[in-house]
Amino acid sequence: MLEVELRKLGEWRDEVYTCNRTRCGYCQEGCLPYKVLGFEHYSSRGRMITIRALVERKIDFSESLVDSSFNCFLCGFCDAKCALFPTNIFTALRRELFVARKIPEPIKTVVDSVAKFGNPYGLPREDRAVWAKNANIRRRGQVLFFTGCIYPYLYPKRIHAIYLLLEKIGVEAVYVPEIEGCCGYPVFLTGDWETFDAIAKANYKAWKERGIKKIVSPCPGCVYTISEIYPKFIDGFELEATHVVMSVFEEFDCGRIKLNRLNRTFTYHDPCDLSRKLKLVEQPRKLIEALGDLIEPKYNKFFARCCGGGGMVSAYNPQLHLKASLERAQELVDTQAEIITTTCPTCYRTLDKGLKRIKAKTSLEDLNALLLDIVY
Amino acid sequence: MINLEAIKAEISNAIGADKVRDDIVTLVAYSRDWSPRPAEELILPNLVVRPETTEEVAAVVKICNKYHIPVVPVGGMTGMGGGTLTFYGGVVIDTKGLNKILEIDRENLTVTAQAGITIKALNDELSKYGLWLPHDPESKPTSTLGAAIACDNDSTFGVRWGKMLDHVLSAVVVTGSGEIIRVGNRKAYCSSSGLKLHALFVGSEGTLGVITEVTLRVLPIPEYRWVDGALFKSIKDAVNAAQKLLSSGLPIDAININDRFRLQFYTHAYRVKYGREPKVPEETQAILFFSMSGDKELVDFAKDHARKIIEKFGGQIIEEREIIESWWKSKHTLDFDPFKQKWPDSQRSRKFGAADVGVPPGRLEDLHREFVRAVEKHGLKILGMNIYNERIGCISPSVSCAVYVGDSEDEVKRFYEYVKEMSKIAIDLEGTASTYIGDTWRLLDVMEYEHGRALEYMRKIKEIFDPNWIMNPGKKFVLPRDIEEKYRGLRC
Repeated sequence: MLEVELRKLGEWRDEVYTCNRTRCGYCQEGCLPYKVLGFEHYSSRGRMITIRALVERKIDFSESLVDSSFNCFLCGFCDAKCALFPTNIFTALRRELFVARKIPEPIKTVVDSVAKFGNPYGLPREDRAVWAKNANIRRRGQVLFFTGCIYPYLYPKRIHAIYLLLEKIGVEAVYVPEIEGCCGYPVFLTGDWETFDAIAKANYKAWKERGIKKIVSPCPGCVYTISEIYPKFIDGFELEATHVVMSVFEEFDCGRIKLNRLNRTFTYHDPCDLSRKLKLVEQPRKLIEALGDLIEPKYNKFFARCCGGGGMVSAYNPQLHLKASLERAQELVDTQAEIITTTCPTCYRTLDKGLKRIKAKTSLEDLNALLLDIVY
Repeated sequence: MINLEAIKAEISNAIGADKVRDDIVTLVAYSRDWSPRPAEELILPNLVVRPETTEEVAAVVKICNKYHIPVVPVGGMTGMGGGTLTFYGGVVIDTKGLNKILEIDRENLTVTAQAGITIKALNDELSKYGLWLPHDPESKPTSTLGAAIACDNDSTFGVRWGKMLDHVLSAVVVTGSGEIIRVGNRKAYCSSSGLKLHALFVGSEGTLGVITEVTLRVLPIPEYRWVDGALFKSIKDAVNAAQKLLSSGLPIDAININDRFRLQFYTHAYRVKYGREPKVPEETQAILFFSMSGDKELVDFAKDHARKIIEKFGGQIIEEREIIESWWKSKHTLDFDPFKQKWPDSQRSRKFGAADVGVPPGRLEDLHREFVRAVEKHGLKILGMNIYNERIGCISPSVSCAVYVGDSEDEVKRFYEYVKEMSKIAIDLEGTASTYIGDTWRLLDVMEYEHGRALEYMRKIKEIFDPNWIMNPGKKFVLPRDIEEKYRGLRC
């Protein structure tokens, strides 16, 4: 597990100086901001040396430092190619920028939306549960179905399918729209840890009051946030969070469910939060291999490249977000697989943009939803 | 007085403002390479540009030449000698924007590419055609073609396929006056025509101009490779065995001889796996690692023959494959566990630094003795000696005399004194001061000792390509005094 460590920037001195004396640059190969924007300070290696200068007070919180910080997907490719976990340090940099009141306006808007509406899009709170209106939803139990923000607002049919999938495989998950809001991940990534703290504690309190023991979600970002970041903010945190794909895999692995073989070729995009942060790379592959033939893209598993949807870049620099999605989309198309699949709604949404822009004929499927008709 | 704002405006006008930066964050990011430097030192350029074509590079250099402002071309910035440091400020040309492959000629076995592509990226693409460029430094994910040529760095496979000098057929360069010229002979593998100007750029360290495009010979990827290793009681025994391996006609493509100090780096994986030390005889003084490649049937036959030679020369085959695989990972595959890449983890408190000298094979034992003595004299901590072999088909030592270096000013200073001393020792042993890092600034004091009167001819050649001494000043050549004084004022 990538250990989330919440330290002040100055407390990462050893790691910063170690990078400073190493300078291998292995982090740059799969770093899409570096590839698209070109200059050194958009790569992990370059950003690390600017952080050194900041820690030594040789530079201040300039506009270009903000630019370097928010043109990063925090995808963790550099983590996988390193031993210093640079994204912990880049998260700490964003925290410093927040404290210094240097957060860019588009990012502030997202935080405000989460605080006001419980989602990053500024959409009405009540719309979150529209998908469940006419659905047969379980209301009582200890396992909570946590949808995240993207599915219910942007893909309501699909979130319903995922809920039905859980029912089908025997996971008795409850859905409680009254207590569901954003997990707070986007807010955490802006460095506003006070607001994040409040969101996390409110969510946790509500879950505990309902007797929730476990959360299952189709969003890797939510699972990562709840299982790895919440414990850093909440004393005595006791709650399990898991991804839908893990629930399916567990049932499949012990033989309680089976999957219809589709005899198609698939390629799989590893979501950063699921692969590098939660270390789940083999389980989705085993499911896909049961469906058809899996063709790996050039960058895969722990070394997969970001889809372009991470780190709030879509809000700060939509052009970079789009260009990165084109890169990754093309790489996936290059596998010549018939179906591109992933397990993250952010990745799905971002890759969809990229694939449309490059006019790809390859179809994109959300594995979370695809499984409903395949499981038996 | 140089007007940097005017220069920035002129360059921006020529190549586009989005390719020109002078904000402090960008400048800081270009302040350091892989060389040992004091921890808090920042050496800043005045401007960083990132052109994407030869013409854009030429436009930048022309403007710099007009205003007599230094130009420092950089590639992957993984050089171990400070070759990219901007001691006199000036304009950094980040060549990584020139990263396109222009032609893969399968019939003639050549590739033409812009010089800023990384070696790994090029080989990833070539592999789709069953081809590869056998130039294989450890820095290949980051190191660019242009930098590999300009620094003349080492390759894992030098003993079979040579160094960049052996691969470069021709190149496009921008001289210090901003002129674009093609050097070498197109795709001809050999030529007796003219002077070999392309060879001048190999190891030129950016002092003659900027390499922007290269045509290289490439080869079919070998079908199969076997990697092996053996322990010896002396470096001499290991060298003798290696010489026999080569002369016997085996398909050897890599040979490294390590001293005993370095063994610990390759036994780590074994210790982790089995929780105990591997069996290494007390009297072991040298470890010979080698690889052979070609058709599987042939290599399988060669493997047994190689082992017979090793035993005949008193070597003990390493049976613990973890040791051999560790060496291979560290040199070639770089296939480290995710989140556990070796470089940063091994340099958490001190850095690796090396004197990179060359001596004839018969002087290696002498060099090793001097290495141990010099490390102690300068109060450094020994890391060990690694003997790479970089000329085709022969024992051709390119020796890394490596130490751990802290990043205090005093220790860094002692390190460079050690490097200079080792370089002079190597020259005294009928060798050379540098084999893979280059002269950079660190061997300026040794240049005359190494080259004598020939250095004057080199300065004259330099002035033909770079009449105003704008190209990477302070590297390889001592600057003329008047130019040095002028440039000193530019340093940030």
